[in-house]
Amino acid sequence: MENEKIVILKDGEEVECDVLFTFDSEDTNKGYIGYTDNSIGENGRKNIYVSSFDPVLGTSVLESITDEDELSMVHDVLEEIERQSK
Amino acid sequence: MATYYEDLQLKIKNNKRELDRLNLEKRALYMSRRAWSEENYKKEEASIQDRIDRIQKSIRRDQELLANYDLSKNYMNDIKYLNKMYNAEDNHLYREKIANEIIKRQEVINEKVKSNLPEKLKEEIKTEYQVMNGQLEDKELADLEEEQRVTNIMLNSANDRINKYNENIMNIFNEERIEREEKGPFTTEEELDSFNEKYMIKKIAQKELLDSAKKRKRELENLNNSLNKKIENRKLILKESREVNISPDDYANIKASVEKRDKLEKLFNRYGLKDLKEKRDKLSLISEDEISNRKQKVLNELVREKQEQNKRATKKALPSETPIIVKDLNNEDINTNSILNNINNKLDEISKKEEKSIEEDYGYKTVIAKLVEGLTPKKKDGQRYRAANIKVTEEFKNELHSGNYLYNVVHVVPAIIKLPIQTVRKFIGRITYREEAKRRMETIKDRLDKLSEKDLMILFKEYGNHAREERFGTGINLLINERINRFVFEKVNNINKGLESKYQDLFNTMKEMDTIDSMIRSRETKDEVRENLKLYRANILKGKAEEVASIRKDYDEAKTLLSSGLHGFSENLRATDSKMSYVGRRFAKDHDLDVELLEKEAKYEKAEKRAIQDGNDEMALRIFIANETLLSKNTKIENSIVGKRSTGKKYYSPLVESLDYRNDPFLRDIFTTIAVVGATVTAFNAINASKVKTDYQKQIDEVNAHNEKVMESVNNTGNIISNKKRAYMEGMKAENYQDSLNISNVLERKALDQSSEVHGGWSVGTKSYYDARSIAQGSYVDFYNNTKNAIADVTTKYSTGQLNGQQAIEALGEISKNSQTTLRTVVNDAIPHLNNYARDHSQFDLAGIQDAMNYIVANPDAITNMNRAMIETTELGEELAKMSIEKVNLINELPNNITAPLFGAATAASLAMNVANTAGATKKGVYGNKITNLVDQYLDYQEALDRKNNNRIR
Repeated sequence: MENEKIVILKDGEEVECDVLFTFDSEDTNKGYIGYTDNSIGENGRKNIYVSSFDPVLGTSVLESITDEDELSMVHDVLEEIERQSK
Repeated sequence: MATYYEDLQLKIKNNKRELDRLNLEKRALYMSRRAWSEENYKKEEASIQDRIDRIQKSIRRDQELLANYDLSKNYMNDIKYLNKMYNAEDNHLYREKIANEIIKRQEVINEKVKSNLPEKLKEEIKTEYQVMNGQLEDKELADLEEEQRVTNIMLNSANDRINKYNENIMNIFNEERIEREEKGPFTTEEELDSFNEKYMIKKIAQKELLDSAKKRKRELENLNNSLNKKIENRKLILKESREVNISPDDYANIKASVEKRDKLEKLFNRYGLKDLKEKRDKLSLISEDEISNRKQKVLNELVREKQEQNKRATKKALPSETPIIVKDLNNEDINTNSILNNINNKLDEISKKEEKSIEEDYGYKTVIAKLVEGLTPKKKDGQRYRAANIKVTEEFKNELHSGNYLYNVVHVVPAIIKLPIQTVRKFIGRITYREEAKRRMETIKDRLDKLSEKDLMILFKEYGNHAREERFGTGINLLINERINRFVFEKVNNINKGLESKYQDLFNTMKEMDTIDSMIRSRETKDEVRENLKLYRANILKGKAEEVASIRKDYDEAKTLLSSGLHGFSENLRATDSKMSYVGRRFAKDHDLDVELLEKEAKYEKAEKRAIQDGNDEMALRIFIANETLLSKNTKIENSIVGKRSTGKKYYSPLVESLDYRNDPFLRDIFTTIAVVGATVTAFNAINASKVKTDYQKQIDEVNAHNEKVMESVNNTGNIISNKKRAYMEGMKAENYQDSLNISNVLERKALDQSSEVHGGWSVGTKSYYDARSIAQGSYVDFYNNTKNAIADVTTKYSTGQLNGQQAIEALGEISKNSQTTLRTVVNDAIPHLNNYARDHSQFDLAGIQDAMNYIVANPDAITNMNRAMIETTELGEELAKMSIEKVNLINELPNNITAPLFGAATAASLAMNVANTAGATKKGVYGNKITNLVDQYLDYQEALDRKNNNRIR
């Protein structure tokens, strides 16, 4: 996968973010995207944002993930990515 | 003042009690008959029997009256409603249907009025009648109705005769039993024959009477059904004939002809006769023979239909004899309780034997191995969603590979995206095992259903403690948990059935003892009678100490199965799957320790144990009853915002019931309250957005500034929650779940951004205001739905066992705490708007809503604490309940120019009000069970007895 960029609004300014990964789910009929603005959190870790989008309507609006089953799926995906990367 | 209806209910209750007493008196008289001269004995017996008959008759009459009263009342209500429907309906077909429904009910009420209803109700029904339109007067209908009325009277009489049979046969059995008790076992064959003959004749006579009554009943029922149909038809004809303005009889004839023609036409069509005729007419190609053949087919069809109809009618008319089985009779004197006890004891013995025979020669691992044999369950089996088509960038892969970074994964949208994401291409892995997982789960479920008692018991006893170390995965644990729950509940239900029968026996004995004692004490009782009564008393007391002991033992056993057994098992499994600590919470109202009550209970406990050890039946029974009534008296069930709960010092229930929070009305209502609080917050957010109307640009800036402030506040709150969650959710990978979405804030932003997209930014003027208003309204709905869904999500997971109590509380805390953060500010913003509005609208009384708002503001920690201890909510809800409904109702009638914010705030307050009212109106009978009622009834009875005794002493 080539490195992709998206632009988000942060504190009123446009900030370019790196797309890290994507996946989809037939169960939720949604697409998911992980990206980062390369900012570092208070604990010294890099912030990664994971959001969902409607694959039919496109990706102009990202939505937050609040459903625990969806969160659990994201968790699985992250584990899978980590496993594949080693 | 008690209503006529309530008076009747009380009368029946008292009469039944008196009936019990008289039966006992009759039995005591019989036992003491040697002390009476034959003449006096017969006189006394006849006098008692006469009183019994009169009371039985009175009970039957009153019960019938109550039934008529209920039916008439219900129908009157129906009619009121149907009248409204009738007036509102334009379609004449529907109007006709409604009118028929009204007429049907009118007829029933008429009949009840003509019977023996009290004057008061008759008047009421007559008044209702005056409201009705078009009272039908038709001789044929009147005759039919009269015939039906007479039929019903005869039917009641047949029913009485059938009921009387039960009483009579019961008396015969009594006589048989008493004679056997008196004469002892048969010593000669002649004696046996003579005994059988004597009673058999009586029984046969009764059976003949019963058969005749049943036959008559069937005939009358058939007649009644046919009359019903005729009456319905006549009413329909009257109605329809009036519309076409011809006489009902002419109309009936025409209708019958039309129906016949329609039927023929249908048959013609079925056999193509119509087409043939048309073709013949047009082309003359079809022969007359052909038409005759088809006609014959129609005729055959008609004949066949008629034959079937006849067959059905014959079948229906055949008598269906039901043999009378003595065991089916509800005869208290046969002492069904002792029979049941014997059966239960036998079952206990068998179950003990079974338990012994299933001494564990293997453990839970063997059982689990059986369950999963040939399958390979994955730890994620049972999860709802699967990811697919995972693609990852090279850079991220390299970064992960290097191991140089640690990440915070945040699921909240940081802001709106300006550029669409490009398609990402590289494929890493695909997870495709969903169908397999489903199959595995189904197989395991099936195997669990088929597990033996022994296997289930092993799982129940052993698996819970080892689930955490085994980590078999969520899916399998959920299935095991569900099966074990079912298994244990079946066991507890069986124990409860036994408990129920023993309680009934003990309380009945106690009542009987009370009556006997009062007769023994009475100066009017002769010495011989007294002696006999004492013997009888000793007899009924036999084995009671043992029975009390077995109640205590069974209760403990069931409690152990449920509370420490099943509850612990389920908690273990939930903790295993959620990776949470084992800490659980219970929600109950604590009381200061009542030392006096405790001492009393301790005294009873000791005395009961001693009586059981000594085999002192009377003492055991008396202490048992005293103990149970003490506990019952101290359990005071009252309505509250959270449903029924005990405000007394005990929460006593004679049968063992589950303490599963999922069915707890307390917790359920808490969820509702939180939803309402969420809605309130939304309404206030809407108010904030609409400030643009009056304050123009300056206010817009303020709104934006406010949003920033709220955003900051939300982030801070998020951090607080994260920290606390870490403290609570031990072992959980909190990094993946740490930030939660603040829905209200995002919606506010959405409102601003949407407007910005449409109009190129916020602008001063009416259009912007209306846009804001409409967005605010939309946001309100969205927010409310989102909050509701979020709460529903938590409750669903809680109810399916995916979350335990503590997790549910934590999740709800996230939802409501964020709401609370914004609440204080927005309430202050909202009140001036409401004040302005109230000044211009005299009918709008703000006090109720303001009280509710002020309460929330004055108690900022109430919502948060609610999610900690769950107790403060009670007060919050009760405070809301003080709002008067009139104030809320007024809001619904407000004119169109009310602003969206006001509507939102009022709706939220209205919802809060609704919750308070709903909780207050919780239906009776939620708490307790049959035996709880039995104890209550005994308390009533005892109080009545005490009052009677006190009166006598005076």
